[in-house]
Amino acid sequence: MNVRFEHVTLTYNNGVEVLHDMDFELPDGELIALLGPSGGGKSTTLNLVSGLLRATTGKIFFGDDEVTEKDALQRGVGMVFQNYALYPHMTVLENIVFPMKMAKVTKDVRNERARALAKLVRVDDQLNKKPGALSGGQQQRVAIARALAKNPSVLLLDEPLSNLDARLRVEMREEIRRIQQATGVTTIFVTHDQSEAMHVADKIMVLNDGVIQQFDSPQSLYQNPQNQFVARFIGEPVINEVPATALREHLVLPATAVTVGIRPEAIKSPVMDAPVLPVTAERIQAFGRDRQATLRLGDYRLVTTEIIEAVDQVSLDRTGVYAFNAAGERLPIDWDGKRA
Amino acid sequence: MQSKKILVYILLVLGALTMLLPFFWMVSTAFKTGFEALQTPPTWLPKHFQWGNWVRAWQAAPFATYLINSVVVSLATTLGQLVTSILAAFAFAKLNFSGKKVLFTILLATMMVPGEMLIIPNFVTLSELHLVNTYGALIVPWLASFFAVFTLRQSFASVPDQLYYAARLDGASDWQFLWRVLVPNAKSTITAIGLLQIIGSWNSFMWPLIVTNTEKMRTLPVGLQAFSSDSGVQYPELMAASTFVILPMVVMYLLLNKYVVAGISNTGIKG
Repeated sequence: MNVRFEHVTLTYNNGVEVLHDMDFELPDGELIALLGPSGGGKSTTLNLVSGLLRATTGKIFFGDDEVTEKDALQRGVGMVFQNYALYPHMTVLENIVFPMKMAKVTKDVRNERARALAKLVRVDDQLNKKPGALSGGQQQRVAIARALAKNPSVLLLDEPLSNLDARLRVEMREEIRRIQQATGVTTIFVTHDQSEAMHVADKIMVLNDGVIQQFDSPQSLYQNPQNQFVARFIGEPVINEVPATALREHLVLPATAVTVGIRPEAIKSPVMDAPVLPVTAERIQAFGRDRQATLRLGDYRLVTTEIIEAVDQVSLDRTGVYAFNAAGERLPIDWDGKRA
Repeated sequence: MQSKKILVYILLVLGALTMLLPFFWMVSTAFKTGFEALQTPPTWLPKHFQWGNWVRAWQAAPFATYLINSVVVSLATTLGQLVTSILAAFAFAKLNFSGKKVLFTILLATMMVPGEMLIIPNFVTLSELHLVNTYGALIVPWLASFFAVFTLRQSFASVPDQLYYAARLDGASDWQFLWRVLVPNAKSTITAIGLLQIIGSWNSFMWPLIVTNTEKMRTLPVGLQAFSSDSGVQYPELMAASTFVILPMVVMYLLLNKYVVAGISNTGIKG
């Protein structure tokens, strides 16, 4: 089911508008991440999709049906809550069966389907345990199975990985990907961890202050950030930000440029035909496959992942250098322009 | 460490003995003769066990009728009170309605009103309704208890709201959420409340005494009065009757003991 928002806003009772003019379409059958810092509006957006919150203005469509005024049940969404919200007094099987029981699916059918789902999410050996006896990852799997039990129009996951430890988090994000592809259900998940979103999502919506900053594939978010916020939020190590004034003597920058963002891997050993910056090496670290060097350009530090020995000059790879104006908007850089 | 533990156990044993002593004394006295019961110094155990006391006690009043009345009244008030308090507690814990806080505060304030003050107004109301000397008089005033509502509300409120949303998304109505999710999770609290109420109702004396005026409607505690006579109280028979009056409650408490403890000490579930 594709999901479409038309000029949706949300204002709380105290008059504060928390989401501003949301206008987007989520394609059918994809895994979509809502990414942003706390308070950015990502969980709120998810709740607008689910129907647990009502839009103040604007329209929401599931496929061709307008669902703006419909509640969560009528929209048929499946949801996995941050703390999983499994029924503590029911076994795993009873938990998965519950939505089908409410929908008056016959006993044989619902038990069979619950077992198939348990198998899909790999908890079929835990069917008679209570949630309290399961690990966090297993509870998560059961919660996904329960959400899938009613053939949801859309599967929504609110911070699905935040309660898991680091290793399990990597495992579960791959699992979510696998389960999503096996079922083909349009899936939206909320996260504040950019690497989580980058690794599994087909498309990522970056939200900040209730505004969509950019809605794009992970690759284009990284390579083609539309503003300073996105450039800063996506990427590890974090993008280098240098005032434009410090670079004007080396690069031709737009007149209104205030800040230049340089991706760590765009700072390379000097090559021909590329702009060159004079630097001094401050620190070079290597651990395992990871390399990281800190260079100085005048008063500013630059972090790079490409330099492994002390250098006094570096080249910039133009695909990883972005200029932003005072409002944080991206400006085009004229790489062939002559220095003034 | 070890000696500290021994000291704790000694104190616990002393406490337990203190609590048990009246029960022991009751049973022991029930087997004594009237003379021996009042003897000084008192005897711990009867010299000769007077089994006849029990037969006389049972025959002294229509205890079978009293027993039936007590069972009916206790069960009806307890079940009724559980239903009303479960519904009210759900509303206070999980629903939003205007005036919720004000209503809750007013009801909380009613807990400060001493029960004795309600006897006369309740009696007047019931007599206007022509309910005096009926099961109605014995049951209706106890069908709602704010103490039960309050305790249950705390227990329901500790169930995370996300569970409520999850149930709504799973297609459960408020009604289904209440009975299929909240109530099973508050089982120990509900059992504790029910048990406290059934014991309270079983033991209640003043109210049944006031609103009943025939033997046919009396309950067991009121029936114990039959042992007071002009010549004084017949303690052995009174104690024998007391023993069979409290026996059902003791048995029930022993069976459901773990729920009471769990319900009082733990009013939440893990999130």
